[in-house]
Amino acid sequence: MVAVNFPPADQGFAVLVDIDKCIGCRACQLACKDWNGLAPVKTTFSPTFTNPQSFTAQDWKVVFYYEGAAKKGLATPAGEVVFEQVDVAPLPAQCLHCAAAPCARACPSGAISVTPEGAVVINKDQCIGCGFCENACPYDVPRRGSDGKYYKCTFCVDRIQNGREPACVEVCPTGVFTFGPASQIVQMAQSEAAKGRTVYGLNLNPYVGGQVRWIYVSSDRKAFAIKQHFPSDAVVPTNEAREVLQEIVPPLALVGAVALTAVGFASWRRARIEEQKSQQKQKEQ
Amino acid sequence: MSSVNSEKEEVEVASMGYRISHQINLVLITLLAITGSMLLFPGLMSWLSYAVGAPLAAFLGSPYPTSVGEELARTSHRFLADVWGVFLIVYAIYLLVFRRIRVFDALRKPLGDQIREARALADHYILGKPLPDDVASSLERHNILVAYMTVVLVVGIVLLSASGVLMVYSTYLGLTEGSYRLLLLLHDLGFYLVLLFIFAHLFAVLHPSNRPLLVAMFSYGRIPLEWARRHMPRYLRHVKGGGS
Repeated sequence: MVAVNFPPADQGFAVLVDIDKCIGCRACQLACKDWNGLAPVKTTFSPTFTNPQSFTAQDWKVVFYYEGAAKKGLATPAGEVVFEQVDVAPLPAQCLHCAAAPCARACPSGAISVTPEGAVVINKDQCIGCGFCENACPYDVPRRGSDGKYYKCTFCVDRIQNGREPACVEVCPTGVFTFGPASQIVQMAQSEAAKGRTVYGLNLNPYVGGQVRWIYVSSDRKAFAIKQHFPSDAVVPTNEAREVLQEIVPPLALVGAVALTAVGFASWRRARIEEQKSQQKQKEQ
Repeated sequence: MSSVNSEKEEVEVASMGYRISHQINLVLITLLAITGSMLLFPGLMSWLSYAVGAPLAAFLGSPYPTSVGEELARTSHRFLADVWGVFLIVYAIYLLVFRRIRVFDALRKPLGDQIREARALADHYILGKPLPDDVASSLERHNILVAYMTVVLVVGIVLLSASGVLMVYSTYLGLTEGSYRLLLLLHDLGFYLVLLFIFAHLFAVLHPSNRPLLVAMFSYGRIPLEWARRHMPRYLRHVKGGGS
């Protein structure tokens, strides 16, 4: 009833996000709100262009803007001059749809399911608002709504199941997102990595299943955005410890209970024999 | 709290208040453990979530009885914890003010004696070996193993209650996600410690050596004087000497 079946990482669908192509227009952010009927959220000032400053229950896709030093080359008559310059890199982010989503493992009510397409989806009618998914997510994605339930990107599974691409993928004017079968996208990401580009989403911690379905690639110029946005290790150590204990404790408790029952039973038996012996002695006297 | 009745050859080891407190603890900790386990081990406990959620789900018209059961467990866990918290605070104040705490008396012994007593008791309870005379004659109202397990229980309850309260009010207290995650882990650890205590406690009270104590706790609180002489001689001397 609360078991989760994860489709193999090379099955279902995936998306390759090439942030070198992103111009930060936020069309994807808007398309997400439009398709999913999400209400507008009051904006706030922040040191960056990012708005809202992170995910909300009404903002499942947010374009984050990062500043970093990027190496640039300038062709001069004397040859190429390489120098460092501060650059701004937009990074469109949403739920990464982990291959073995820790949020789905953590959900006690079975509200988070994984579809055969690989989409990790919260069923709000089943959500009890406990926040275990938020606690388990290494990417800080699920957010509590005003109704106490949790919300996040659905991978537009309703569109995928009807033969369409996710709304954000379809709307992007510069082709940042490449949507396709997971095996194909993983191959593309691997070939990008072989070319020396920075790739995030493959060979991750087993906590997330070793891989996510939204894989990011970038050149050195914008790699700082990936490094700043994603944790170096895709794991929540406290929740990982909880999961280990949850695996260990029930069998240990069972073994302990059986052992103590056996010892207790032996003690009762011994006491009974001694009692019978003393009764027999009394009779003999 | 305790008195010796020489005519009936009995000694009181559990007063009325102590027994009532024990029953309240018993009920509340059982309910808290069950509702908590439904959240901690949803896979193992989903049958119970389904069973308790199905009637309410039918009433609400929800097609998800397991989710309704989990919701019921979550809300009742918080409510029961509040009730238990209030009870524990009141009871702890009573014990401290009236100096009724005797469970840690055995910890006053030198460490070497404590270890010797613990070994002798383990041999007695598990292997059925008789207690050495010097160990038997120095036994308090609660032996050293009980004192150790009570320390485990107190640490477990402190972890459970502190982390539980902080998690419930995390939004108002402005706790970070990292703090919340740590609190959840500490809450789990607290539960496992309490579970360890419950196992040891159940084993001890169901052991044939301690049958009079079990009967006393669930009846009129008295044990035979002869049994007390063998199992808690030091305490008996203390009671006869007029101590509380």
